[in-house]
Amino acid sequence: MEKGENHFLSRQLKEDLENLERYTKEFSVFLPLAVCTVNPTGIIVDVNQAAKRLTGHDETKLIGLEIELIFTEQQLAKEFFRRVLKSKSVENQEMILVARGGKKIPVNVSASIRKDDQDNIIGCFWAIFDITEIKKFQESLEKKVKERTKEAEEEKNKTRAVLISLVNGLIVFDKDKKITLVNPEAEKILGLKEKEVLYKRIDQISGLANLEKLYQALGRKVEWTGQKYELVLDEPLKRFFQVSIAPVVFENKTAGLMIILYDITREREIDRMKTEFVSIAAHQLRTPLSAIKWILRMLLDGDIGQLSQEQAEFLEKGYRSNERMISLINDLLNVARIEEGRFLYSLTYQSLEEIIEKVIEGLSGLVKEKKLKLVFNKPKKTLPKVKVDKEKIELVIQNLLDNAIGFNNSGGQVTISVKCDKMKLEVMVQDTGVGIPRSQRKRIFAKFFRADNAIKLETEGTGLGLFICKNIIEAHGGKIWFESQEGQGTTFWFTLPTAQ
Amino acid sequence: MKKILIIEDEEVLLELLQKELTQENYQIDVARDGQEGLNKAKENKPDLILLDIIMPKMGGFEVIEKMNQDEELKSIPIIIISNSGQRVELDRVKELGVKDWLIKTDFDPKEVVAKVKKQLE
Repeated sequence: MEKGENHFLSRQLKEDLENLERYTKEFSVFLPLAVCTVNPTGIIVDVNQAAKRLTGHDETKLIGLEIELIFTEQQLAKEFFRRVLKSKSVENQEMILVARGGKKIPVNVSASIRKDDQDNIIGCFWAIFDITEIKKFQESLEKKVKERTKEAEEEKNKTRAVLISLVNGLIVFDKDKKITLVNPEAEKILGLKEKEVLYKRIDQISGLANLEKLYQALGRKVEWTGQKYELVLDEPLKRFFQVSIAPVVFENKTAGLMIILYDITREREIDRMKTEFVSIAAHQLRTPLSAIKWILRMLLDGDIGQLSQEQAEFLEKGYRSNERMISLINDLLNVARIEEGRFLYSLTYQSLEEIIEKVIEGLSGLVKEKKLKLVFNKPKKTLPKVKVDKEKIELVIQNLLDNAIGFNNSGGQVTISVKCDKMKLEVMVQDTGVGIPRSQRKRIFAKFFRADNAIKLETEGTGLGLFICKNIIEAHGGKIWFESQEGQGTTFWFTLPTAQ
Repeated sequence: MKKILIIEDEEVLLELLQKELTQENYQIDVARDGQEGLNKAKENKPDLILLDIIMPKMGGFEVIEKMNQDEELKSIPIIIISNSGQRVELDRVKELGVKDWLIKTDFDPKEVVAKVKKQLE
């Protein structure tokens, strides 16, 4: 019975063992990870299916081989093996495996020792993991990163090159208001070196006079307000700059600010020269004209002796031509002053009614000559006073009435009227003249523009009158416009805001 | 007879003014630049001065400034006869205490006479 039992047990044991062996074998065949089993001296004693596939060798070639021989760096492999024996297990050592035909395969090796039941080392498992794909992926990734970095670097260099060669001075700040770039022009303007101020805030820098002046000009803050500032520097030369601040926007986020220094010294100089020219031209041109005017006046007044009727008529014509020349020069001077932006000079409270009456008075001769009727429809109630430059408003009314008379037909009528509401005075000047051709209405306020029919009617106009009117009215905060019917007449309106 | 000094570098205007004012029975003295004008003012102590602004050697503004520093001259009334008529100039003239001013192209000799009479009355 006992013997029978033993027999049964040993049969059972054998069966189990067989099962285990089969299991191990199947597992080893299935396992995609290459595994070599080595003895304590490093000789390969077993390999699995995956190891054979990876190395391209069969087990007759592999078994009995020293394991380091299947790697390119044998020294490294030996060293690795020593470490395994010492610390029982080492993971993830990268090596290069030499497969059949000398093919080199990057691998990741982990190894772990085997022991018997007496705790003696009996060998070691080497798991060899093919990392070709990972390596490839890694390399392409690295390459991409490198390329991107290079692109970004190039872009940065390009931007820097642009900024550096910019003719305007430029200081770039990061979002903490620390200076990250000062281009050479700004270095020159401010008399500093980029490296002196880099990565500092303006308020942390001292001893740089021009930079301090810039900071003063900005109101001791570096902020984007959309405002333009003016900077005057004396060192090394007196120079004028327009300073603007703009945000540096990156992917819809403000990444910092930049200060742009625009040299307007030349513009200033030109302005000054222009003013000087205007003043000299005024003097030079007007001097002979006044002499002519005065001489003719004296002759006409009979101060030098009695004139015949015919002589007086000719001289009168000469006198009037001279007057036109004077008014032409006045117009040109006015335009020059408008363009200098200093046309409005002194604003005082004035009665518009008085201004109009004064202008009308001066025109009475001309009105009679053309057999016109000039009507001033005065408002029923007293008009509020308006704050205006009196001479300029006189000029507007003069110009509008001159046109209304000049372009009128003999026997026609000119009407001027004023009305007012809470906000403004509105003046209307209406004529029964030739009207403005439809095609030319858009350009009527343009400088030097004269309508076709106007040129035929009156050859001596300058084309400056309405340009001047528009500028004067708009400088007062008013509006000017017109309606016209060719052959029937034109009506101009302008408004002036009443004083609050 | 009242004495008037005309300081003006434009010969024609100078002649015309001289003629007109002589007819009105004034005693006329002339100068053709600011320096000469200032010297003559010191010499003759005129009752009124007609003064141009832009002139050789010494401009009108400087003449006024020099006169204002001189006790004997500073009370003499001045009428400016100028050409450009720019407001900046006129304002400066007023600051210097000038009695009246006129712009040559806007006036003729008769009106100058009227202004002179008004000052000397």
